[in-house]
Amino acid sequence: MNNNPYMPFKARLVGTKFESEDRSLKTFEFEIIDDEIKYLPGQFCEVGIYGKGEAPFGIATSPTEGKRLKFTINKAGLVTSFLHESNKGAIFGIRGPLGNYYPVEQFKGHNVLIVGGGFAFTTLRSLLIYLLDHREEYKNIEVIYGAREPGLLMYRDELFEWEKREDLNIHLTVDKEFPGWSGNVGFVPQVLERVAPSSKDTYAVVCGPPVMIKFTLPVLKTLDFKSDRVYTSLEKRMKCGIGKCGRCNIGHVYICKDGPVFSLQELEHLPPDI
Amino acid sequence: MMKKIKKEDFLDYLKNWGKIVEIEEGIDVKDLFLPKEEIYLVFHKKKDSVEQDEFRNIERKVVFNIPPCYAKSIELLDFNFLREPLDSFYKERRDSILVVVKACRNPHNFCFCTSLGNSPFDRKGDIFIFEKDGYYFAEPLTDRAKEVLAWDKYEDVSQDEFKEVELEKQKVEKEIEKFDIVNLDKKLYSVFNDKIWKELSFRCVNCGACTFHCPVCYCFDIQDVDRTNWGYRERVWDSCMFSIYSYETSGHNPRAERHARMRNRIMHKFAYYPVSYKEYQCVGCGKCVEVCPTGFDIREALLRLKEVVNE
Repeated sequence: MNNNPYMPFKARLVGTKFESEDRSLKTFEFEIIDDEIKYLPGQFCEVGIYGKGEAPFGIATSPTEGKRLKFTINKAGLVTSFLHESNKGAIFGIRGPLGNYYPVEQFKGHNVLIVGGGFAFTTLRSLLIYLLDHREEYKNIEVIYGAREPGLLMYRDELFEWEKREDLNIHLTVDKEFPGWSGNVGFVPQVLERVAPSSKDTYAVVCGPPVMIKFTLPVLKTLDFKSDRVYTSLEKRMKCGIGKCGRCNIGHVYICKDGPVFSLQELEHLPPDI
Repeated sequence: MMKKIKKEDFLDYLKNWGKIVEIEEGIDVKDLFLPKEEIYLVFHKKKDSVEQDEFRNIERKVVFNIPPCYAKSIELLDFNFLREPLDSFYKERRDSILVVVKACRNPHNFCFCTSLGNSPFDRKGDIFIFEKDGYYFAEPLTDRAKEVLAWDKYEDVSQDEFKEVELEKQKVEKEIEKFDIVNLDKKLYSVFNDKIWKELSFRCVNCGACTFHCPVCYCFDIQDVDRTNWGYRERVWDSCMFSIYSYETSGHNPRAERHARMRNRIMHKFAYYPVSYKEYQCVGCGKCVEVCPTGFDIREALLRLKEVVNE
């Protein structure tokens, strides 16, 4: 194990797959060379391209899937554009695992509600697979996941497999009617309102674009979810990933070190600086 | 235990420990422990592989004659860099630099260390010294300072001499303007959304001079430099006063407005640091006041904030 947190593990890109029809999202699968990153759902890594820089991404795989790590990444800036152009076999530098994780121990013996939107589903995928691989330890699992249009839903093959499962309720939705789409239509908060899962004995995990979070939280409140039972994962610009470089603070906490996972109760005590 | 040692003798001992660096400015003290540019990873790209090496450039040094405020600033940097996970680059520098602090007898107009509970004669660093007639009155403060020389060989300063140091201390302390900001830290949270921040940031031009010159501001960026088949990764100083500092790829910027950045700088120093470490992230050196091109004065800002939180 590397004990200098600034030094990356060398990793080989072993597979890529377009995740959205507009080809803006791509999933990258890495193999850490001669080592292993042990993590839990919700943690992230700094993925670095030698000569270009590093950027933080949530781990999309569950530790129960093996040693390989997957990240689903939107093509947006310098590092991500180079990633999208990279070929299998290329060597990267990965630092991690960084940050905290969804409190899966605390969830044990309870119902879990997962609410996701857009391409914030990566660590939720990790969480969902982790829960399904320990299925007997959790009670009802309910998932609500929406995107602007069907082509932007991530992990579609898996989503449709999950829809068939008896031990999981999954509600997929798209913002508006779309040719060939027979599932739910409407924004995530509206679908949540319709499904109205019970808050009794339930933990909720919410991840999505700010506007979705903004309208989802009031619905959860109406359903009587208490703020210590609702978790979310935050992001901000990061560099070091270990709470030293300064930029991702909200008040005295750092999203990279003290988060990215926070309960609403924790956030209520911090200044509104995101 | 304050010992009386001839200046030349004392300097010889220090030279044996490491290269003596005599500096006056806080920005240079910070630069010793957290260099402006610090290359830490060098890589070579091969056909199907990459070789990476940790890069270190650390030598034993004695930072000599700095005032107690700058030694205090190193203690405040320790909170951030020595907590888990340990910043090994900072730690190695910290271990390789002996800090010799000289009593501050010429405070300038911008100083306000006493308002923060510090003193220009604070026993800080590894060794504290007071200069007198070709001698140093020197006091070892850490275990490694005790090994710098055989302290027992030297006689203690006399009672009269010790009294002289105390009197000088009182005299200098009186020269420094003192104001009261006790308990400001907790109250700052209550004015997070107040218009005071716009008022305070009105004249700020976001040049970042205050943060670069601040001996305790440590924010840094990590950047890669790419040559054809090799390159390096380095960390470089950054400033929370720049809008790009927190600018996200999506276009969102949590601190896009000037007042939000000013608020973060002041609250980080006077509200957030106290929550984490029970200390202000400020030593009262007044350097930010001296270098500000638009005359922003942190002392006035704190007094103004004190008025607002008590309204």
